[in-house]
This record gives sequence, structure tokens and C-alpha cells, in this order.
Amino acid sequence: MQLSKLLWIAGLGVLVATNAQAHSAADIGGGFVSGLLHPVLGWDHVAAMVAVGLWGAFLGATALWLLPVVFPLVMAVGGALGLAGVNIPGVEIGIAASALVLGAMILLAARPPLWIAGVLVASFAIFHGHAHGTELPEAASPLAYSLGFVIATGLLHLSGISFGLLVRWPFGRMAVRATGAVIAIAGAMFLGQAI
Amino acid sequence: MQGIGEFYGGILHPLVVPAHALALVMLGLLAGQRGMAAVRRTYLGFLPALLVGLALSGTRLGGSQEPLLLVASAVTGLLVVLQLRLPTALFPVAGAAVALLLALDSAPEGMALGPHAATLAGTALGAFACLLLVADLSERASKGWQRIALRVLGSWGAASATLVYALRWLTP
Repeated sequence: MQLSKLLWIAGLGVLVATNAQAHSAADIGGGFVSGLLHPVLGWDHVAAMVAVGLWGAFLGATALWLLPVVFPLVMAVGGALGLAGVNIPGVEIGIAASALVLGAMILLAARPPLWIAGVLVASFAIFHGHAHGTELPEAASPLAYSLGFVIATGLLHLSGISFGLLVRWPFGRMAVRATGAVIAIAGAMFLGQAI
Repeated sequence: MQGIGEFYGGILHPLVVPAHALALVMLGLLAGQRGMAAVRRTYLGFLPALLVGLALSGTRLGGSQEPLLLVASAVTGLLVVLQLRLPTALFPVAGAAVALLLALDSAPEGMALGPHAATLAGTALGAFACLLLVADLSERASKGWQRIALRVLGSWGAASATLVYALRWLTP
């Protein structure tokens, strides 16, 4: 096997490795796992994250990476605002609206200019970040927790992107738009609960 | 770290302290993304600063450098996202800065001279090995999707560092 392949495998191994029990790094491991699970256990977050990836696939090659890069960066700003005690009204409504709007964009196969899509996704990321940020102080190892939930968010984007790549084929395009419809309906339900 | 000896504990230290690991990974991504010349220049700044910092870590200059390490991680992560063609002359400075902060933050406490030296030697090896691996992987990432993956990893690192910085130093 080539050296480069070995290095890639070693690198991936580092990413998926867990702490050995004897090293008493329970706070770090526990914090990371808590952070990793946090976005996955909230359906409103899951729907919005997957929708970002799906919409990126509709918008083309640049959006495929731009939206998932913009989202965590702006989410961190939202989290920092939450931690600094800056009150943003209607956070839960914003999170629910993100699923509704992004789902509708996918359903309609909307292709606005990339900067508009970026601004829209970034503004929703503020709400998601604010919600995550307020839960950060309870984490045993805040950096491990935040790494965990940022990575989980990215992996949810990736799952959306992977599924969204089906848009190359007519049947896949229909399947992706139908998924957008499901996300939009779920978003409407979340919105009803939030209001 | 109990049960594995001072030297191996020292090797693992930069990998199990999240702020250290994050700073090393972001620096490695940045250097590798810019190419082999930048990687070599990073090592030129990193290694001497690491040794000097570890030697000084037991003095009054040593102590928690986590805020600055988080700032360094956020800035380097953001530079990875932007994928700018930075001048290679910046890389020894970046390498030296991260190494110095990490080393000053790595002082073992309450140890005799022998175990103390073994821990510091392990820390130097672990930190350099981590940087070496990440920078090499990053430098080999030449395909389009691999370059995108580097930018995504940069955004994750910058986001995490920003959040924890805010938690520690902006919370009312």
C-alpha cells in the first residue's frame, strides 16, 4: 500500500478513535460524545442541517462546500452571542423556521444567487448557534463538547450533500424534492410548537 | 496520566488536551495547504520554539496559555477556510508562536528532575509527531474534494475555538 494511503487511513483512525479507559480522560471523551450526540438528538436541528446539505447540492458545486463552511462559522458567532448574554428573541421560532424555509427551497428547487443563499443560511445558523451556546457551560470539557457538536453538524450536512447528489438523475431529483417537502412539513410542525 | 509512565504520558499530553490538539491540527492544516515549502518553514520555527518553551515551562513564564491557543486556533482555522496564498515567511512565525504557547502550557507538576525531563521529552515528541502527521496529510491533499475537506475542517476548528473562547472569557 502506498505511504499516502497509509497516512490517510492513520488520519481517519485518529478522527474516529476514542480515549483508552486507562487514561482517565473521561471528561474529554464524555464531553466530545455529548457534543456529538447533541445535534443528532434534536429533530429540528437535524432537519435544518440535512436541508443545508440538500440545498447545497441543488445550488451547484460552489454551494456544496460554501454553505457547510459558512454554517459552523456563523453558528459559532451565534453561540458566542448566547454565551455573552446577548438575548436574541424567538430562537426556537428561528430554528423551526429554518427547517420550514430551507425545506421549501429544496421542494421548489430554488436557485437564488449564491450570496443570497449564503446570507439566508448564515442568518439561520445564528439561531442554531445561540441555542447550542447556552448549553455549553454545562459540558464537562467545553472544547471537546463544542468540537463534537460542530463535527456532528458537519456530518449532518454531509449526509444531506450525499443524498442531494442524486439530483443528477431525474428520479433522484424527485426524491430530493420530496425530502424537501417532508422537511418543510416538519418545520411547519416545529413552528406550530414554538409559537 | 496514570499508569503509562512519564515519557508516554508526555507523548499523549498534546493529544488529550483539546486546546493543544486543536492548535496543532489547525497549524498543520494551514502549513500543508500552502505546500511543502511552508511546511518546512513551519518546522523551522516550531522545533526551536518548542524546546525553548518546554525549558521555560517550569519557570514563572509557564502557566495557562489556553486563551491565546484558542485565538491561534481560530485565526489559523479561518485562514485555512480562506485558502489564501500567504507569504511563506509567515510560517516560521506561526509555527514558533503555537509551539511556544503549547510548551509554556505543558509544565508537569510535582515531579523529580528525571520524570520531569522524560515528560517534557515526550511532550516535544508528541507535539511534533502530531504536527508532522497533519501537515503531511494536508500537503498531500491535492484533489478537489480533499482541498474542500481541509477548508471544512478549518471551519470546524475555528468555530469550536471561537465558542470556547467566548465561554471562558466573554461570559458575564
